[in-house]
Amino acid sequence: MDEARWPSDWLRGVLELCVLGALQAGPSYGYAIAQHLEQAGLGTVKGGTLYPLLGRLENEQLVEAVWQVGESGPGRKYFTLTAAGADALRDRAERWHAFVETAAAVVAPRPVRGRL
Amino acid sequence: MDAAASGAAGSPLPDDDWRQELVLALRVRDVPGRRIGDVLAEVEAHCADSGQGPREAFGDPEDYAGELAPGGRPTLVRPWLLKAAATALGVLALLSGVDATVHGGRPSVTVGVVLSLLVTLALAAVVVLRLNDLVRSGWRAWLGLSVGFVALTTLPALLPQRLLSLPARPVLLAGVLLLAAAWWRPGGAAGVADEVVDPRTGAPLRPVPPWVGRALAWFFPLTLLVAVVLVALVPA
Repeated sequence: MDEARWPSDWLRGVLELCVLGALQAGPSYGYAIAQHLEQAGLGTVKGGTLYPLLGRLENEQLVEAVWQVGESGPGRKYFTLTAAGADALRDRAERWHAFVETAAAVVAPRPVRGRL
Repeated sequence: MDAAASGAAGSPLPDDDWRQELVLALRVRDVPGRRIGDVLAEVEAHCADSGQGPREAFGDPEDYAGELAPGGRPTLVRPWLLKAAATALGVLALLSGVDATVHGGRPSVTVGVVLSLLVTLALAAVVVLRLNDLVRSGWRAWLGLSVGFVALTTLPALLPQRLLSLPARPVLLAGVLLLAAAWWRPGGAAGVADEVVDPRTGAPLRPVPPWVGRALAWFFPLTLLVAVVLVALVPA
């Protein structure tokens, strides 16, 4: 299956939520999060987009970050969902689903009534 | 730092230039040293994991700094420009205070004084807004700044039309106080007290070549000292 190329404004709207979602499985680091999202079919997320977003999540205390010195090579910064982050993910994911259903209802195909 | 003026064997890596630009872009946005170290370590770790270079993964360093610190470019009220204004006034007050105290007379606010203040503020704005370009142009930048400093100290003598006259010792004192207020840093003498530190090791990082730090720290006090001595020695 070839890589999905979603419109960038769609991705911009959902990326923060998806990053929170990616952290549900446990602590992870920047590159691994980007890989996770890519493998899920969301396309490539560049470092220049991802890290400022993670920084904002950290400022809002939705994630915590810790540097872990690795055995091989330089250390990595691991991000973990906080309790507030898990709550935010749950609430926003619910709203997101509601939003998508609303939009889907508006764009659902319906028969064109006659001609003008 | 010119690619042609590398000093060491071979030219500096483009990655070094990228990191240096990022550090300077973050500095003028008043990002603290610790956060700068954190950002640099993130970039390094991500590039190591992804195999990409910093420009490929993070884009233009100015743009990246803008994303990280969305407070925006420095505005007129930013600390750097206030510091420049206090420094300019302080230097003028100090030099005219020394002159008047040693040789007698009263310091005056003259056309030359006002003009040299404006020149200094214009130079400071250029430094703050074009810091990356300045560092890259090396000796040309220091030449320009030296010319500005000369203008600052000689315009008052060249354009002595008097606007206002003031007592000598208070002006001298005001000069000393303004310079102290502008440059005093608790816990950090002439160097850059707010150091960029690697969060993984605690060791300081030096993404900007040491000569820049040293030059910034010593150029100004040395030039000022020379100016004070000249003013005191040269008969009025």
